Amino acid sequence: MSKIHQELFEKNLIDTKQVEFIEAVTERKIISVYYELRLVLYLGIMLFTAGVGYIAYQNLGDIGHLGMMALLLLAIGACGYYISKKSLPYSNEEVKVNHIYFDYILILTSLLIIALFTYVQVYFQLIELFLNWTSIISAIIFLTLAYRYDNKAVLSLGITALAATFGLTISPVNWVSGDWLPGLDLYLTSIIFGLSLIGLSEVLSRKGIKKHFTFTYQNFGLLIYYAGIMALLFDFSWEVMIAFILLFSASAISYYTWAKKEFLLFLYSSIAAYVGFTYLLVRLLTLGDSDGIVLLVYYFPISCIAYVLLLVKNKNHFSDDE
Amino acid sequence: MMNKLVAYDLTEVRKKRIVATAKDWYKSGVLTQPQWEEIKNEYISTLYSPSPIIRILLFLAAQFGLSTLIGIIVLMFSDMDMIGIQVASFIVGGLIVFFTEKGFIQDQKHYKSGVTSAGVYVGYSFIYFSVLGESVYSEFVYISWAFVLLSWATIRYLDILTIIPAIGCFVALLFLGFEPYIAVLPFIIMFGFTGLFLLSQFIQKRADVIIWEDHFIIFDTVALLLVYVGGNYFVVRELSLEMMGLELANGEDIPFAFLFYGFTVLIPIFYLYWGIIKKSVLFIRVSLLTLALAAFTLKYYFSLGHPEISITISGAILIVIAIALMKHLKIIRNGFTRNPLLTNKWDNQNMTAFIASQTLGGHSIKDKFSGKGGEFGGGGASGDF
Repeated sequence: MSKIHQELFEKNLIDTKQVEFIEAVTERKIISVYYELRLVLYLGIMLFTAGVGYIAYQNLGDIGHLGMMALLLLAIGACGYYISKKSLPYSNEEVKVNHIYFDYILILTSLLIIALFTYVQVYFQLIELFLNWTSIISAIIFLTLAYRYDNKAVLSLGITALAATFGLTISPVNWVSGDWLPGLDLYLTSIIFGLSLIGLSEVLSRKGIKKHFTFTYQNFGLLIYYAGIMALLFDFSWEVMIAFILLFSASAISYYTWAKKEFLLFLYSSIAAYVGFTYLLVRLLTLGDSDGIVLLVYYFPISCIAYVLLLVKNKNHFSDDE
Repeated sequence: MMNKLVAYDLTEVRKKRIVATAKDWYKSGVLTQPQWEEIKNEYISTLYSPSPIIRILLFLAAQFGLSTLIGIIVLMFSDMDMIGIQVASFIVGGLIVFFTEKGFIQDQKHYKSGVTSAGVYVGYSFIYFSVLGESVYSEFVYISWAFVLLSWATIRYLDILTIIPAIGCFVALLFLGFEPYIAVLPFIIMFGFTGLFLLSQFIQKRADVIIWEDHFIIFDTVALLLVYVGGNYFVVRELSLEMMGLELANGEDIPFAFLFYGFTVLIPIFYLYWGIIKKSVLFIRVSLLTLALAAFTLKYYFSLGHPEISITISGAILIVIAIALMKHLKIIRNGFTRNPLLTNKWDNQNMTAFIASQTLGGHSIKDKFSGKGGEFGGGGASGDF
């Protein structure tokens, strides 16, 4: 058993009350099930909303739909009542509701609203009518709730629904399994959509509206932009020009995010810039019938190791952290 | 002895771990700002480790850069025979390990900086290959050698990612070793890992394991899971069919089926019970996971034919249980509380948001309703209509 608290106490770095509290926790006199309960709640919400959605699709033509819809409406009403009771007024700043499952109920409610919306469409055979509208309406519902009640998870759902409006699947999970629908239009759409998200986040952040949402927008925006432009690079005829655009944009964003210490965005951007640069280099080395391609054997290790050394040299720029 | 065995300076690692623990306490509101500053100054460590994302970036770049060195070796020694290439890769692997230890760990004081992991993984991969070459030994040799190197990396470089593959190799060795007595294998795994789990508890009680805390958590979790998986009906049944060539006619069942049904259901319940009695988060967490596995197992063999209804009902039950317990544990009862106590290491809003967007639907467009993916409230179902 590690007794750090005893050691700190003996060195007079913490007081008796603190050491007693920590002792109680490490000796398992009190135990927190904070994460466990949240996990169970989250799983419950995932299963429940999935099941409800599934039933809505499975039971077309059966009886009891109106009842089902009424039940959904009732659940939404109950959750909505809870939310309105516990929520704080809207503010452009971050609003934190100090209630243990507020965020989860909000997510549940958003998903139930979408489920009801689907149900109504299917039941009243409005799918044809709404074909192009469902995603945008879902996005509007999610985004409204996200802004009103200040929730990043719902914001993420809103952004993915918005992307779906334009026919984009924002899911790295699906990209990996090859479910990335190909097509020039889609690539261009994703580039424009990605850039718009980044632009939008800049505007909102300058206006001081929910500044803490900026990262979510930028994260999605950059991922979509890079995915689109890289797909274009390997699937379209003006490769050299596209590679230049990729290289310059990614380098510029790397530079900017490095200065701003946005390291996750810096990570994406450096990888994207490296892909662009490598692509141009390969084109250069294969000009004519040159055998220069052999140089790549040296290029990959040398470039990467040089990059590592460069980063390590600047290690004071990023925080030291355990 | 430990000091010689581990590549890092253990006194410094210990300081780093103390600061990390104190940081959790400070963030959970137990320590005051001045106290936290004082502790930080008292335990200043010379070791350097960057923030997680930079660590990932360094790891990726170093891993890619070092692995592509294989190209240079092949190019330089392409005239040699296999033995020559093996010798060359042994030298390269050795050099990579040497520079990682001397240059980064000792001189630059890197502590798990990403570069160190990449150096260790690539260096030892070269060494792994150089010793075995491409001549065909038995599986046993390959797996044993991997087990040795993975365990070595776990101990010498305090590496966390190598523990699970090492345990995996160990299980594979058990499979190979007990192939002639496959029927007793479930019991060997259950008893073996129960023993190892108890041993691990014993060590943790006796020794100062602060440096190894995370390693023990991972080991204990995997051991408890394996004890369960070893007795799980689904696993035993499917593996019996696969490995013993057992063929079951209608109405027949595997030998001792009742025993394995019992294990499937009772072990998770025992874990939960024990977790509550002993107030062990480890047991409670593993019990949640194994309860889910038990549910899947039973569902697999005794399906009611209405997955959507069971999903909805179980979801509703989980929500009700979670909310009821949260309400119940508003105040500390029997030592249980719903509030976080000492750590919030994993509490990251951006991460939660990303996971939610990937698991809760709202993004699926893989079917004829293209372009209306956001309408559907459930990741589990969105692929099915």
